[in-house]
Amino acid sequence: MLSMLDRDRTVAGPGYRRWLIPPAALAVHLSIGQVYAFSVFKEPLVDHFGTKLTPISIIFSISIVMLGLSAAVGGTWVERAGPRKAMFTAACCWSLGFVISAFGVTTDQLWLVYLGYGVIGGIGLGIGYISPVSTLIKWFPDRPGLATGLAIMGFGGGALVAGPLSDALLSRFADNPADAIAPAFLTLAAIYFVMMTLGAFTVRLPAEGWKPEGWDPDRDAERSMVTRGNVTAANAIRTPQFWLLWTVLFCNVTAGIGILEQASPMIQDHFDTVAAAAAAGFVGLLSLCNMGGRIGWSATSDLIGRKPMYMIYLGVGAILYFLLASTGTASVAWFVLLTGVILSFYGGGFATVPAYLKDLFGTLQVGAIHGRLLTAWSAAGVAGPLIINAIADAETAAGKSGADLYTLSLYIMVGVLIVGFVANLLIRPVSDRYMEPAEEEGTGRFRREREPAPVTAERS
Amino acid sequence: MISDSARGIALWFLVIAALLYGIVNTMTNVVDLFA
Repeated sequence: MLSMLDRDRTVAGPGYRRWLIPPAALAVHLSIGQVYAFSVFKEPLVDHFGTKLTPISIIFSISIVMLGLSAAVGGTWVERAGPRKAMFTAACCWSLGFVISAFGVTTDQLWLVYLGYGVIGGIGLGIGYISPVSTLIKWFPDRPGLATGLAIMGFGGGALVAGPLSDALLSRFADNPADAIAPAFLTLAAIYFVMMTLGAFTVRLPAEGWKPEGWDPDRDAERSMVTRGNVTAANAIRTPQFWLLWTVLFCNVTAGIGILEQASPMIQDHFDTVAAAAAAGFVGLLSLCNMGGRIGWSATSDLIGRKPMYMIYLGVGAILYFLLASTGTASVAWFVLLTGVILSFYGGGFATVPAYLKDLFGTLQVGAIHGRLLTAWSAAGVAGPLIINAIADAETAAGKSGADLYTLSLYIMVGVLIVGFVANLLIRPVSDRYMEPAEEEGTGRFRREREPAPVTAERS
Repeated sequence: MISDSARGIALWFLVIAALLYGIVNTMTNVVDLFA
C-alpha cells in the first residue's frame, strides 16, 4: 500500500496532461495557508488557558520557525522521496498537529499545543510548502513563474478560506468560542487531511527527458540568467548568488511584514474616519492583493525575466514606501492603493523565488535549494515585527501619535528595500565550476557541460 | 478506480470553490472599507 507513495510509482505515463498538477499543489498550499489565519484562535485560546497573549502568540512563532527549519533540513529528502510521499507526509504532520493540539486543549496542557501545532504542524508546513514546487517547475519549464505562482497563491488564499471557516466552526460547536477550540481543531484536521491526501495522490512526476510540446530549452538558455546546468543544494549554498538571493527575500519579506503586522491599527491611526469593521476590510483587501500578486507578478516574470521583476518589487516598492511615509495621509483611497501594491509585491516576491532559483541553479535539486532559502523567511518573520514593534513603542514613548507613529518605520523599510535592490543587482549567472557533470544520453556516463550558457547579456 | 483526469478535474473544482468561498467572505468585509 505504502509503495504507492514511492517516487518511481508517481511517474506519469505518455499523454498525461500537465494541467492536472496545479490543483494538486493548490490543495496542499490552500490547506497549510491556514497558518496565516491562526490569529482567529488567539482570543479563544487566551480565554481557555486563562493566560496572556504572548504565550499564545508563541504557537504561531514556533510553527513559522519550524517551517523554515524543516524546509531547509528536509529539502533534500523531499527531492529524493518524490512529491507524493512528501505531500502525504506533510498531510500527516499538519493534521496530526491539529489532533495533538485538540488533545492539549481538552487536557489543559498548553505545551501540547506548542508541540502539536507548533512543532509537528510546523514540520508539515515546511515539507508541504516545498514539495509541490519543484514538481511544478519540472512540468512547466517553459512557464515556471506561472506554475509556482499558482501554487504559492494557494498559500496566501489559505488564510482567506481558513479565517471565515474557523469562525464558523467556533460559533457552531459551542456558545463560547473558548469551549469550541478542540472540536474545531479536529474538524480542520479531517478537512485538511482529505484535501492534502487528494493532492498527494493526484501529483505525478514527468518521465525522464519529457518536455512540453514545442518548447526549446536552448532558446531559454540564450538568456544569460537561465542556466543549462544543474547545481546541487550542497553546492548552491556555497555560491554568492544563493546568499544574495537570501538577502533579497529577507528584505522583501521584512518590508512586507512592516505593513502586514500593523495593517489594522495603521489605517485607523492614519484616518479617524476608519472604524474597526472597515479596518478589517482593509486587512482582507491586503490579503487579496498579497494573493493576486503571487500569481500575477510571478507569471509576469516569465515574460520579463526574474531579475527585472525583483528590481520592480524592490525598486518600485521603495518608492511606494517613500510615498506612503510622505503622502500617505492624503486620502483613504491613496493609502489603500499604495499599501495594496506593496503587498502584491510582497506576495510576488515569495512566488517568483522558486523560478529564480531554477534559472540560476537548474531543476536538479531546486526544491532542496528552495527549502534552504526559506530560512530567510523565518529570519524576516522574527526581525520584521521586532523592528516595527520596537520603533512603534519608542515613538509612543516620545509622545507621537496618529500617522507619525509609523513614519520612521516606513523610512527604515525604504532603506531595507534599497539593500535588497542592490543585492538583486549584484546577482550574476552561477559559475560553471559549481555545476554537476551532465549525464550523456543513454550511456549512463557523465560529462561536463561543454557549452556553458552565455554569461554576458542580461535577460530583458 | 478513479482515473487521473477525473481526480485532477474534481480537484480543480474543489480548490476553485474553496478560493471563491474565501474571496467572497473577504469582499463582504472590504465593502465596509469604502462604505
